[in-house]
Amino acid sequence: MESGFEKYIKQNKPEFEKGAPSPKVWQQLQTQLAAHHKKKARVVKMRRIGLGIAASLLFIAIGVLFFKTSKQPVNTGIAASRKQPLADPAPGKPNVDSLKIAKQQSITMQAGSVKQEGVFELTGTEHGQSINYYTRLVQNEQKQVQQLRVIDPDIYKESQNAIDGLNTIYGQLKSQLHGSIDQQKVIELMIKNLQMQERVLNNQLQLIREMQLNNQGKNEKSVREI
Amino acid sequence: MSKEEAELINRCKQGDIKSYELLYNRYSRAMYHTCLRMVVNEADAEDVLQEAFMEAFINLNRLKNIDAFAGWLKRTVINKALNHLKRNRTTWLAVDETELDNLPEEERIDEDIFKEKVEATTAALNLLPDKYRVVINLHVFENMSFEEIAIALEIPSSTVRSQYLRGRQRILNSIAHKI
Repeated sequence: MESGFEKYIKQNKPEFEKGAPSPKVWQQLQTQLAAHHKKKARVVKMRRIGLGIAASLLFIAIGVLFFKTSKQPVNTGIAASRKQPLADPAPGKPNVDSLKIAKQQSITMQAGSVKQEGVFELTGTEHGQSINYYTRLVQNEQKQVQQLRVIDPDIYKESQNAIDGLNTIYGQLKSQLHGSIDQQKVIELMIKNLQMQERVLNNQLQLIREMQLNNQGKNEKSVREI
Repeated sequence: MSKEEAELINRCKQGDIKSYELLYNRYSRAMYHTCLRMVVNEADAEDVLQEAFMEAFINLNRLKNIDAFAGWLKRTVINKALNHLKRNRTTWLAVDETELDNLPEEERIDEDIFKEKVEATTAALNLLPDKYRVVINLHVFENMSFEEIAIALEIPSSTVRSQYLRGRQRILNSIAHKI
């Protein structure tokens, strides 16, 4: 049974609840919520990049495995007697006789832990042009992405780990190029690898631009408030 | 829960800041007083309120049944207020938790004593030791049973009952002395 005290409180509850929290509670909450959602969006974005990279790495690794198990053993006798480029074109495949593979001096990109050694100069083919194009694009973007190291070291580290992984696979593909029975396929995988590196770097550059825009917006707001 | 509020909560789940503000405005006053009655100090009550709403908003996606939002929010607020009080162990532990058999179930004071005594009742509540005040607030203002309070405070329900009776008696004595 309800006591007189309890009855009184319930009947007069609104009288006990005069007053409200100050506006600053919502202001602080709003700031925290905005920061929380911004961070969440970045995490989702990086996860998507990570998933995309993981899928590509898997695809490329399967390709590498396929070529490791399907390539013919290199017979030094046969290879020594060849005066032509390394692999005879398979029937129906594009002519790769004009393919000249020459290893230039290694280009070491000191971008964090990323190194890309050996740029193949492929002359006279569409694939060759693609490899050159993407290689230069990746190099340029690596330089620009350096600023992310300062802005957000954690995201920079995550992305560079992904690039390192891709670079490792690129190196493996490159090493298999000479002994592969289908160099065309290996080169296509190398191009895909470079395209994936470019995508990761491009995402990082977009993040940098967004962060710079946000900072610019905050600075303008502070200037207006003075 | 109204359809309008359900839609509001769904928009909050998508991160719409304006919807968060509308939802906050709907519940902040009541939740603020829940906090204030427990922690007494206004600045502390605002801190607890902010913490509780932040936790509720960022965990909104975990709420399976939207209709349960109001109860879920209140439990979050009460837990945050309790955590705040427990951080000050000296005041939190300053009560005798032993049962007292001789407290009357029904107070022998006239109901009329409460007329226009909101301020005096509030003042008397605020002077109670933390645990008595929490029990009185949760039982009388928040309509929680002794068993529910016992679970929240991790003490036996018989202890909750005796703390309630002690606390209520002190309030009645305090008001009676002012007449």
